[in-house]
Amino acid sequence: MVSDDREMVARFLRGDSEAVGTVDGWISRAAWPYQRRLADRWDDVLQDVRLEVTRLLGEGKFRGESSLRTYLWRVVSHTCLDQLRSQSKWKWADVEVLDGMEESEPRRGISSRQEDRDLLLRVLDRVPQDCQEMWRLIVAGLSYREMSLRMGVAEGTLRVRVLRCREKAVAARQDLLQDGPGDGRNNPVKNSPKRSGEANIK
Amino acid sequence: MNCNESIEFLPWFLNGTLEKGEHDEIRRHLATCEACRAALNQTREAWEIFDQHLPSQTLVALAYGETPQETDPALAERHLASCPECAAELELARMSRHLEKDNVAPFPVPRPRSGASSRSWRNLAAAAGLTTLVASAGWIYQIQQTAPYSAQVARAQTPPAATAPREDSGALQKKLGELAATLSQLQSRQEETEMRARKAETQVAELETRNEAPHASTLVILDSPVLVRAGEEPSAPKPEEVRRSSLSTTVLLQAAKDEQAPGPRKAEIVDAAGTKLRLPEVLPLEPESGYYTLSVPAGFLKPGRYTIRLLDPKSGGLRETYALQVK
Repeated sequence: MVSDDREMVARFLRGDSEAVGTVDGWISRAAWPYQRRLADRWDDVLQDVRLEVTRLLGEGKFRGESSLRTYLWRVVSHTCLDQLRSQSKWKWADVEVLDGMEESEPRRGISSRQEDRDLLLRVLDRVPQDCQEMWRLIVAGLSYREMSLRMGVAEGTLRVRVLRCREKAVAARQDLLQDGPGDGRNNPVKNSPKRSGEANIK
Repeated sequence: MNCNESIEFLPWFLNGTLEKGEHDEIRRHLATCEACRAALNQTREAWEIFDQHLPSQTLVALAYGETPQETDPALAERHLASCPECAAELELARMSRHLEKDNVAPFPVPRPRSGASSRSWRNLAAAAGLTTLVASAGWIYQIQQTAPYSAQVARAQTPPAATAPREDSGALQKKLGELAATLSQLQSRQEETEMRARKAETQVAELETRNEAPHASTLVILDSPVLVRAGEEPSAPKPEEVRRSSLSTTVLLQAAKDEQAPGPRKAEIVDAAGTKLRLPEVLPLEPESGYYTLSVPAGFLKPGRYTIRLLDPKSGGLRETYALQVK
């Protein structure tokens, strides 16, 4: 660690106004590109970043592998990206529908564990591009009527295509779980059998 | 509603966009059908899969030109190619990294017009060349004027036998020749510089035509809103023409000047076919500038005409409309 950086950390943790001002200036500058996307949450996010930086420096997480300035820059980007994602995450509507009822099988919740995220990314990688695009619109909160108009397909056809894509994604997940992590990265998902009258998905 | 129909509606049951009748019908069906509840679980599972994005650590590592530790680099590359959200976020992380340098201004300074830029560069080159030319010409003229005078003085003050003035005159002639050669070189350099400037100007114009000029993001300013009053039909705003961008676009929407109650707005983009593309975020009004800022991901707007509609987030009433023609 460069002695200047070590001294800066010590001064920042002591509450030295000059060091706090310098670090705060770096944080604001590093977070500037995210300002427009974060909109009215900007001040709250900046405060979260300051707390995170104080926590990391207080716990001695900065080991001097890069300069303090670069380290803080990365922490700010990382925190802002996480905040952006949390604000755009669409909440499942009416998930309490099954409250009080027995589910037919235990539901798998969203896991933040790294291996699970990696597995899901690999599953997504196996699903055809048009399926990804269709489901991205659903996750973004578009109704089937809006999607039907936008894609220029009949509503019924669209619903069947989306269902097919769902089946492909679930099948790809099963395949990967059987293969084990890291296998078959480039294997395209197999088509499941068609129901009568359904449109083909390329 | 039977099981097949119910299962087809489940994705929109989860995203909450079904109409009340459809929603209630599926809800009732789910309460009695175990198979459809299993299908609901599979729909949630699919949702998790399709809502996957690269971890933020991976995006930050890529922004710093490093190999990501958390994700297979080839997988990350493929995901970025197909996911506009992650591509836009990577662009933000890269912009942030760029700001780490002290000499980069944190405000998106508009990119200068290529024509103006190269013209001014060319003018500077021409001015420098002209100055050199005038200075050289003045110098040569002074030497030419001085030469006979020097010779006369030498003749008057020096005995006729002396050869020094003749030698001086020869040296001056030699120097004059050298200066003329220098002047010729400068003129040819000026021509060469002008030719390079013209070539650079052509290249920049070509790049702009292909929209390949490097820039962080596209900025569009729409400052002619049509104010919609309660009970009135909105008139059609005049569209602002923009070129389709392969990068994210920031649209600045000026609030209507005679709006009685300016404040935050919900935005929706309507394409020529009348399809509404809803945006989840509420846009705050920036009080100093009087603009709303709308971020549109890369590749979101395909060529065509769009209307941007700003709605009151509480009442849902239409307040301002803007038009955009993407080429």
